[in-house]
Order: sequence, then structure tokens, then C-alpha cells
Amino acid sequence: MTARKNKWRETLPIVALALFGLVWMVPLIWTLLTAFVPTTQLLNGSPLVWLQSLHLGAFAEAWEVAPFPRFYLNTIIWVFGLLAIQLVTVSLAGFALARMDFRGKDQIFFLFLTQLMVPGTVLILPNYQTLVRLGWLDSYQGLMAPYIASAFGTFLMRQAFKQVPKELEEAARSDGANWLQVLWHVFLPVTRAPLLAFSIVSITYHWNEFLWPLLITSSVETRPLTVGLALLVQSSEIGAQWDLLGAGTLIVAVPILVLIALVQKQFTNSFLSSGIK
Amino acid sequence: MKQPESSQTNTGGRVQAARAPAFTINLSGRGPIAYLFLLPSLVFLALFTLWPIISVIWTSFHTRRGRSEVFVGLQNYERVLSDPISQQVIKNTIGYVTIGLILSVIGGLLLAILMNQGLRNIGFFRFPFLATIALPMVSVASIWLFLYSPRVGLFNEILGGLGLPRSNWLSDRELALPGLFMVYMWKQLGYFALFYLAALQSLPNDVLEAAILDGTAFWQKLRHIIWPLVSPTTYFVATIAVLNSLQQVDHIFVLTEGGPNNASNLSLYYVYQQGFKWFKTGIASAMTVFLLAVLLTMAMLQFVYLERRVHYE
Repeated sequence: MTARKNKWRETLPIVALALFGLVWMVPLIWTLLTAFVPTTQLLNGSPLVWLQSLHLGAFAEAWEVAPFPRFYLNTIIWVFGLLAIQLVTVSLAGFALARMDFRGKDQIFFLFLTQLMVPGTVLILPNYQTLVRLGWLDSYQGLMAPYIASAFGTFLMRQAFKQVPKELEEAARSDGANWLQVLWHVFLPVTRAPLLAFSIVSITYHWNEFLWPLLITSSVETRPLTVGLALLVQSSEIGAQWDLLGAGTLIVAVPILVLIALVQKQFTNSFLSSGIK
Repeated sequence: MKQPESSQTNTGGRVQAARAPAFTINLSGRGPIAYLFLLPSLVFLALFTLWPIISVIWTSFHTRRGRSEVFVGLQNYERVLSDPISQQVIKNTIGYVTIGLILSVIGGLLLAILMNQGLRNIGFFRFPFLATIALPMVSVASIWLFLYSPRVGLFNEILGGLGLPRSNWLSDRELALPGLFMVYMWKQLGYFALFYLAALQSLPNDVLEAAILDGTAFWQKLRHIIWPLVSPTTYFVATIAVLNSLQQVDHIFVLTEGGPNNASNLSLYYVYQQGFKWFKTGIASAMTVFLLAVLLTMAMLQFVYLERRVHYE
């Protein structure tokens, strides 16, 4: 094979990927433009005009029109509050399933499996009715409740705990440590990677979640960013304030974009593990 | 109460004991502690996974008359199957899921082959496809709302620039559902590609060499070498493609609300409409049970498939 042909064979796929990636980015680039360039200039002007008329006005306006600071706070409380609770529940449950023997283990294992088979989104109607009975509508605990037990996280941690050498644990046990201390001092320090993987998936998933919060939140004090954005979209449809819409879209999406740009590799791995179940 | 339980585990759990002898020997009373560790998860699993399944099956056989629930047998199911709107919804959903499945597998594999090219620092090129996975569907849909906009949208600008007739994308009976589908694929294709990418990277290097684009030989290699080797991943991607397309409804809220005239209505959105807009919990529950049946069938198929392959832990 000639050297020239080899080179061609190497560069062609890269060029194809780059072009394809560029096309894929068009909607994102277009959103950036709508947010930073006034709509009239965007539609009538050239790229040079766009550069000259860059402004942050749409962000200021979006920030004014909808209570985004409050929506941010709500999203942060429910997403990170949930994560904190989940880290406890999945560590405890994963540990019990990985390292303890008890009656009914198979049945309990199957119960977790059921959650993997039946995603919560499908059960919105009965879960809503449960929240009504508990009086948890329009509350943070209502937002979190269906996700506090996480089969995905539990299985991920179970798998990780199984790989911890027995000697480590026995040493701690013979020093008189109880189970919680063993978990905390021996197991959790060596399973940071799966804990991180689970955290990335949990944060992205719930930061983006829409349907469940839409159904159960009804006040500014609980509504997350996604629901706030959808309300903004519905209201701006009338006036077609596209720059406002672009800015709102970015306000919601930027933290997640920054997160994956920073931890692209872990992100990739985490999402692979989320599928592997 | 505690003692007999743990001693039973010792005699009955021989398989467990063989795997982890240390625990069965030196630790008594671990049963109750295990339940304590599992308790928080079990409570919420029972309340928000087990109970809703039972409850939705129950309500699917009932209808609300005044303040009480009346047993109506299979009436809700009959109505879901005979009503023209729900028929339309089922038809839409089957089409959406099927095309989604095919494109996720083919598109995902091709994209993964592209993403798997030799360069080490290729992360930059992968970013576009990863970014869309992580974006909120509501944001993604808002982005596309603008692209689809009849008067100022990018698509119509391009069509107009090419001298082609403009379309009213999302209000068109023919185009609304494909319009939703494009948004969904744009967001999710990278997700499916990731699984293929992982599969490709676990293949031996000389096989990967064969994957470099090279005219007709490429298709031969794809068909006869790569495709068979990644078939477990294909099975897996097919499963999550179905689950994903059934679950994603956020874009419907932002873009079409199921319209025009239910042309872009999908099963889960229909459940929302029936249950939360028109309070027909019986109908919504019957549709939910259909969805559950599909999901459980998928899970069974996957289980059978996994059992057939080498079982390992």
C-alpha cells in the first residue's frame, strides 16, 4: 500500500468526524448567536454585524422576566440534596447486598431489579397519587421521593464493594470496628470512582428532569430550572422573543455543559456504566 | 428472633458461604444489620416502585363515578384499543420507537466507528455528541423550536435561500412527528454511539485497523467482521433505544403538545393528557399498563439473552 493512500485513509475519517461534529453543533451555535445577538440583527445582518452587536441584554432580561435565581436555588437544593441522600442509601444497600448474608436476599435483589426494568417516568400517575396521600405535593421531598432508592446506584456500589479484598475488612473487624465503621473507613475510601460515576449520572439526570417536577411543583419556591424554562418558552412564544429564549436555554444548560467539558472522560465512563446496569 | 435467623442462613446459604466463607464463620447477628442497611432503600422501593405498579393495575380496572371507584372490568382497555385518538397514539409510538431503534443501532455504530479513529486527543471532536446527551431535553427542545420557527427559523432560512418552499414544520400533520424525532435523535445518538465506542475499543487492534474508512472494503469489513463482533452491544443498544424513546416526552411539551390533531402524540404524553389534563385515570392507567407490559417483555428478552450467553459475575 502506498504511503499516500495510507495518509488519505488516516485523515479522511478525522475530517468526516470533524465535519459531522460541526453540523451537529449548528443548533448549539445558533442558540449562542440568538442569545448574544439581537434578533433583528441576527436575521438581517451578516456575521460581521453580529460581532458588532454582541450584547448581554437578553440574559439580563431573562433573569428579570423569570425568577431564574430562585429556580437555580431550587434545582441545586433538589439535585444535590437528593444526591446526598442517595449516596447514603446506595452505599448502605450496596454494602448489604455485596458483603452480608441474610434471609430473603434473592427477593430483595429482585425488588431492586424491578426498578431497573420499570423506569419511574412510566409510573407518574400512581406516584403522583401517592404524593397526594403523603401531602408531599409542591415540596422538595416530593421531588426526591421516587429517586431516593436507586437500583442503578445500589448495583454499581454492590459490584464495587465485591471487589474490595476481604483481608482489608477482616483487619478492621478484628480491631473491633462495627459495620458502619468498616463501610466508612475501609470500603468507601477505595470506591470513590464508582461513587463519582454515580454522582455524575445522578446530577445530570435530575438537573435535566422535567416531567415529574412539572407535575408536582406549583410554586416559585419549588420549581426547578427546566420547568421555569418551559414556562418562559410558553410565554415568549406569543411575543417570539427569541433572544430571551436563547438566553434562558443557556442559563439552564451551561452548568451541565461546563461539567462535561471539565470531566469529559469520567462523564463518558459514567454514562457507559449507567447503561450497563 | 435474631439467633435462629442467622443460624438458618448458615445452613441454608451454602452457596453464599462458599463464596464468602469469612462472613458465615465469624459474624453473628449480621442478618438484622443487613435489613437495617437495606431499610431506607426498601421503604422507598416499596412506595415508589412496587406499590405504583400494583396501584396502576388496580385503577386500570376501575373508573371514577362521583367520589367512588367502580369496577368496570376490561372497559378501559377496550376504550384505549378502540378510541381513534389512542389508536393514533399507539400507531405514532410504534413508528417512533421502531425507526428510533433502527437509526440508533445503525447511526450509533457508524458514529462510533468515526469517533474511534486513531488520534489520541480526539476528545475535542467527540464533544458535540457528548454535549447533546447531557443537555436538558427542555433546553434542546427550545433550541429546536427556534430552528423550526416558520418565519425566522434556520431550516426555513436555508430552504428559502435555496429557493425551495418553506414549511410550517411543527404545525404540519406530516412533519410534526418526524420533527420531534429529529430532536430526539440529535440529543441521543451520541449516547448510543458511546456503547458501540466502548465495544470497539475492547476489540483487538488489527480488527480496528480494518475499520478505517476505505471504500467498498469498509462495508465488507463492517458487515462481516465488526457487525458480528459487536452484536452483544447491538442487542443492548436496541433495548435501551426502545426504553429511551418510550420515556422521553419533554420535547413534546415544548414543541407540539401532541398536535396538530394528535399527529405527534406519543404514549407517555397521552398518559399525561388523560391522567392530568382530563382526569381520566382509568384510561391513563390502562395505557400505563400497556407500557409496563412492553417494558417487562423487553426485560425478559434481555434476561433470556443474557442467560444464553456465558454467565459470569
